[in-house]
Amino acid sequence: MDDLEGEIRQLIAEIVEMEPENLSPEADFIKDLGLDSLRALEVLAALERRYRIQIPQERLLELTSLRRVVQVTREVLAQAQGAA
Amino acid sequence: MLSFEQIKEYLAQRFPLLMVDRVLEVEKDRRIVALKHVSGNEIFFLGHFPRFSILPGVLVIEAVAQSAALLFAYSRGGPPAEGHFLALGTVRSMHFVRPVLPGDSMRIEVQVQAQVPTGAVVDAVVTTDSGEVARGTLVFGLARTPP
Repeated sequence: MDDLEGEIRQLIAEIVEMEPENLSPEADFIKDLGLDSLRALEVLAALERRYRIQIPQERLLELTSLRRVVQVTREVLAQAQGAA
Repeated sequence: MLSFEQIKEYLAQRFPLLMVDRVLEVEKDRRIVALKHVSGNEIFFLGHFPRFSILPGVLVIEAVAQSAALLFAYSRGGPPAEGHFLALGTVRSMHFVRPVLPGDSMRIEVQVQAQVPTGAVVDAVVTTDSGEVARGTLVFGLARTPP
């Protein structure tokens, strides 16, 4: 687990009110964790605030698990750094 | 700037729970600064408390929620479609620093952190002449009006 995944795990765990170590990378936010749309929006806000990025709305549906969130965040960060 | 009459076009709340008197600044999809003058004549001071008047903290949150709903509606050119309203879904955090008393004017600044067509996460800071009274983060979602 790298730093980014560890940070995002911590951030999501706070929102879903779970212990970070219990958050499986593959757990589906809706089916497995019972995340509703407002909590999903909180995850988005937390990511955007923490990493000063803007995740395009068309990518929101991809944010379905910790693994997918890390992947999307990594891509958006790389694009932002490439554009800078 | 939006006047009280214009505010009523965007918000469904009415006396005694319309908690915004005026909008000082508004930037679509970004931020709003609203004003609520608190009079000793407000009906909720009858019971909170009979011997010393303090604006209930939940009404500070309500003022923030209405300011956020105003921003959401203003940014979309009008209130949510018939049968819908912007519901407060989560109070992620709200810290009360000092009480709001009769005679205070609350300056409510709300900043959008993230939003989608059906909801938003906002940060809010409420101040009076005495300084900061509350700050927090709230989450809203579009909901159906109860039948």
